[in-house]
Amino acid sequence: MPATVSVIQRTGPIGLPVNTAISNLRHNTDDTANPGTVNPLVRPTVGSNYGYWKTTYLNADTTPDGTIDNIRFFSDGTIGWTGVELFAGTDPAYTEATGTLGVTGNISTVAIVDIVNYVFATPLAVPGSLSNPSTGKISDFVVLQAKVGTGAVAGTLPFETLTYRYDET
Amino acid sequence: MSTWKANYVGGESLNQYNEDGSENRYKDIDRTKLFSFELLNGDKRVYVLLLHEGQRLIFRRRNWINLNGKLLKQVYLVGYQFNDSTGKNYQVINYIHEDGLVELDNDRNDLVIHPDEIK
Repeated sequence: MPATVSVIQRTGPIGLPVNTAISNLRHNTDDTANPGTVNPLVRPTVGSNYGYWKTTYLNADTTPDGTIDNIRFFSDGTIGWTGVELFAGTDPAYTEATGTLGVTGNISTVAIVDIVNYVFATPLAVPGSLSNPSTGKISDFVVLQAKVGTGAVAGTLPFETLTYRYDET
Repeated sequence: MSTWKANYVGGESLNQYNEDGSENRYKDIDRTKLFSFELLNGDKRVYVLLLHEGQRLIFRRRNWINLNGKLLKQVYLVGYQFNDSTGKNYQVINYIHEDGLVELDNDRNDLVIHPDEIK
């Protein structure tokens, strides 16, 4: 049987992380998974604010027949959020998202490439693999962070689809 | 298509699923005596790969999921690899899409994802 694979967001301190299956990854200004509308992004009066970075990874809920590998991550090439940019990068290690709660996140040193550069033709290569009979974390972390400029539009921003691709034997 | 069948020289075969419901894995295929490899949709054969001396089977599923974990697309990769007299490796792979489209290409194992893979 093919493995059941999910995308997990890790939150919390390094020593006691919480791993949660993503139902709605909303960029905001706290370190929680599926946060709803609490602590939204804040438009700055000058300069930029940031969301807390969001740390995701591929997880095998059931074991594959063989191996899962060859992982890629990409967008459709456009982020339709006026005044808001989205950055991405990979990290083998987890770092808790930090910042000023409800105001701005600290700037990630990992999520530094505008995600519109990661499209099907030039996706982000994500290290990691997992083989039978193992389950659990497959990939390195894909870290995402929203950057909010003064031109951001108030209100809920539209959904954007980001895609993981992987091979399974 | 959902299952595979490996046919060996001499007439024996290995189905992905045994009659008792247990499953054979890709690594269970004895590729040293593999004659052909089939994909089945129920009992119907929908793809057959014939292998010749020096050709080694490639089989994998390529999956696309969104952040919610929803499977957006799946493509079967079936083909073979071989080495020429200098040892250089070549891979010949059919990319079999859910809608019936079949593309013949190399391994595409570089960073490029072909446009047809995201349709």
